[in-house]
Amino acid sequence: MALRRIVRRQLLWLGGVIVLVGMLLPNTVAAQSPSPLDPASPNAALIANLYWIVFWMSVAVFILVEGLLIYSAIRFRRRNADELPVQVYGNNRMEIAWTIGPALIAIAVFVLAWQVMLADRPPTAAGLSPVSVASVCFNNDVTPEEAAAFLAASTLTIEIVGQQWWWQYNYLDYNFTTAADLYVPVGDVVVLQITSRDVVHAWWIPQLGGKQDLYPGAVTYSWFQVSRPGVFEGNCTELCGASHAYMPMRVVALPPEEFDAWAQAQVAKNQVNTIAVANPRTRVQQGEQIFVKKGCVGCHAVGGLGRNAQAGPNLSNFASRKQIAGIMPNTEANLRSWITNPAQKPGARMPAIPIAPDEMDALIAYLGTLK
Amino acid sequence: MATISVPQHQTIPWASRGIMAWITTVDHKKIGIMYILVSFVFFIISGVLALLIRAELASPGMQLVSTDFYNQLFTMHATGMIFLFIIPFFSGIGNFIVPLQIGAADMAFPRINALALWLAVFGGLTMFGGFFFEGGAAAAGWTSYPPLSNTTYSPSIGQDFWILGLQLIGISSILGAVNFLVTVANMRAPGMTWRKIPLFTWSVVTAQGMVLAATPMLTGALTMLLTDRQFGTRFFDAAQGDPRLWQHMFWFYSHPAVYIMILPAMGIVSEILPVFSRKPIFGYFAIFVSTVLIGVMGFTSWLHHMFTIGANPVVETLFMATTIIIAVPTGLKIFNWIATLWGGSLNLKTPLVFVLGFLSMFLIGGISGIFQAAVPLAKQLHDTYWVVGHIHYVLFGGSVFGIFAAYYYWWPKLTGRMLDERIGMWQFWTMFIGMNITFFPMHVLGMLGMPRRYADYAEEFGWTFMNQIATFGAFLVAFSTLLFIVNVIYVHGFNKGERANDNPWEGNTLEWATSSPPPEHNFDRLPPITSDRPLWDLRIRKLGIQTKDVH
Repeated sequence: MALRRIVRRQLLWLGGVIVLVGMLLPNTVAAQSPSPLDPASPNAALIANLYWIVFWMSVAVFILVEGLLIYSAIRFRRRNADELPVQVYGNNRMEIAWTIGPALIAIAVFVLAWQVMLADRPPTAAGLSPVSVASVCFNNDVTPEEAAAFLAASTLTIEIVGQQWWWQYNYLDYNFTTAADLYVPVGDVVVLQITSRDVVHAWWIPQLGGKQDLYPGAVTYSWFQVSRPGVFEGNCTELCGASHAYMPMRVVALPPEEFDAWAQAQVAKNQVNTIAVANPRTRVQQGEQIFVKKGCVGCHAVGGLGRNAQAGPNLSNFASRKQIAGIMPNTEANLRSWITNPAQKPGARMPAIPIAPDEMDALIAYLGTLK
Repeated sequence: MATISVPQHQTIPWASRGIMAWITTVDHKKIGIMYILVSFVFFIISGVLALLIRAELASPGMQLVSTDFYNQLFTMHATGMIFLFIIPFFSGIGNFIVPLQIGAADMAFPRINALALWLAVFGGLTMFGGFFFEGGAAAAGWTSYPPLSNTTYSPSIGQDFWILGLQLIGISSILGAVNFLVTVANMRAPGMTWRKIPLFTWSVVTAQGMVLAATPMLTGALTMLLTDRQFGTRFFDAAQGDPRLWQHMFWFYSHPAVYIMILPAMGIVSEILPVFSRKPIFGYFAIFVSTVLIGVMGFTSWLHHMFTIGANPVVETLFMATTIIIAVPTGLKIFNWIATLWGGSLNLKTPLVFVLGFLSMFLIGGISGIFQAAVPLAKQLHDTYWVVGHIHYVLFGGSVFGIFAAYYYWWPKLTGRMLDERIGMWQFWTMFIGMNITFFPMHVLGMLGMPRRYADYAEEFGWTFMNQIATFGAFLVAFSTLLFIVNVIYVHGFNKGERANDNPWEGNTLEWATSSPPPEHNFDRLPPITSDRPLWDLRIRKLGIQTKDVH
């Protein structure tokens, strides 16, 4: 009978799966993947910790049940066409036991998860009751007093506005706007006030905590406190159309003094709302003129220049960003390709504006100065 | 083998007439077979869509399709598999088997039965028809969240076809549900009290009760979405309505829908285990109660699909509790099934092997569900590939293995022929290994931060390798499905299949007390309904054996 072979194969397969998970998970996490298991914020750390507890409970249940199944399949296979097993109709005591067993596990998971929900609040809000903090963090339906108390306790409040398919960041404490890469100081409690301009999106930086949906016409909240300098990647996590996969987000965590310098530089740019000179001499100055003349500024603000333009991402610090349009690395060749053919991002609203080669060189030189 | 005597029908009167006889039939067996055929066609179509998805994801960048077409692929893959494969398959096998199991001559409302079938067929054609129009099929995901699914962001007519098709299917489901419930309530054989109804029939009754309670919410929501799109209402509008209203209404149907898709498969497990272990089901009453409990609890946990919308944390805590607690009746079932195997005489033929596949794989889907029920974990796992892995362990490892177990178990009753065991074993092992290779890496991808519904991904995130493994597995699953088709062709096309007698598996329930396939009127006469295993009792009595019974 092929059964023994079958069972052996099944055992090998099970073992293989466990070994595969054991080997691959930590290895791939160690690579550049934005994994929730590599937390860089206290809320994400709480969740990662909970994950591992539930994971090991699951492994125990998995081994127990699969073990019983495999054992039964081997041990009780029919050896004789006439055999007639004892007719067991049930056993109340045993059934009660294996009702209580899973119930205890369920209660344990519930209590552990609930503890994390209670603990998941910024240290600056220690004075508030857990439920009201949770309400402020995760609920748009809070009293103004609660919201005010919480926002007052946070060090930096940033409004995040999602739209097809890019992210806008309004630094409410400083009154300037950026896009794509979110600069924050290490160690500060950052409160995110999140909304959408069109469809539902979801904000998710796995290393900095759970995700939060964005709704047009409503505000939701999230928070994080980055524990180490670095760049933390994320991706839009609610289906939002043809370029859903091209809506990455990035948190750049700087040491506080560097962040302050960066923020002051952005504030300074915000004061400038005219182009540098009337008669451009350098290529960069020419580029700035082309930026205005060709109408780019109608959608893309740079500092105070075109301040109210919101149809396209703010480009104040474009040259520091990692990617162009969420689809390619920020290199000169890619930038040229993007301006020539924005249709390479499905559904992108940016038009391909005819532009002479020397004008293109100037424009790219100008954009390269927007650090 | 001991069975009661029924007249042997040399020809199958209801199968021998032409195509018109099939189209105009109101016979529950023919309708059941047509449901099964239609569902299989949509299984293949939706499966091909899945292969295109996996092929596109085999490497970073867009190689095969545009991102918009990719969105159509996963939208129609999910909608097709759920509404046109799994649910209609259970309608089909239920149609064929339930009247037989309760000793009835047909369903209670034969014409409504035919109407329900054809509504589902044309609903499916309407939905998939979108592919042939400008703008293509629906692309807003099977969840179709507004505002993405409104005319501003989904202007193509495929989205309207999707709504209309789904409404037809919804009406079909409601009609079918009433029919099943009335049939089982009123048409049971004399002596078949509630405690003697076979567990498969119980699972169908529970699932159809859920269909009746849940589906009107879906069809209502679809109507609202349609009027939003076509007649300028603002139910789900961000300014004057609320997009989250759709999510509540949608998941109020679609969470129970998961149980509508898994409970009949659990019923199949409860049916096959006793037959192939020569034992009664361990704890009939416990399995029955847990089935009904799962059916009821399925209605109280929909918000766990929405843990990232920014709901009140107190509400989230409550829904976490109502979700996690479903593990208790489910766990009870699994242990009772194992206890049925325990000490049995296991006849390891294809039906039982597929049931073992169900037990081992559904377990993984159940366990990963616990992770997602915990609010903090859900906030990380929600809408990632982890969820895709989870739902496929439930619906493929669970429902689809249950469906193939049902195919192999009831095929002789449906057609009079046995499917080939050797090809069946090959199908099982390729499918079992293939599904694990496909879906297990998805959990890992989720934990590496890959969101679901992504047409493309950057190399630097380190997701390529796992995606390649999954793609390889998907083609192995496709191969295993091909083996099933080969099996059917081998058995019927080449006439190689062993002819089935009335009761080839030593079945215990009434469908095995008539010929294979049954005559148009199902039964010439019925055996006494002595328990939930009337044919077992009859066999034992005939052989004059004293069994050792432990109650």
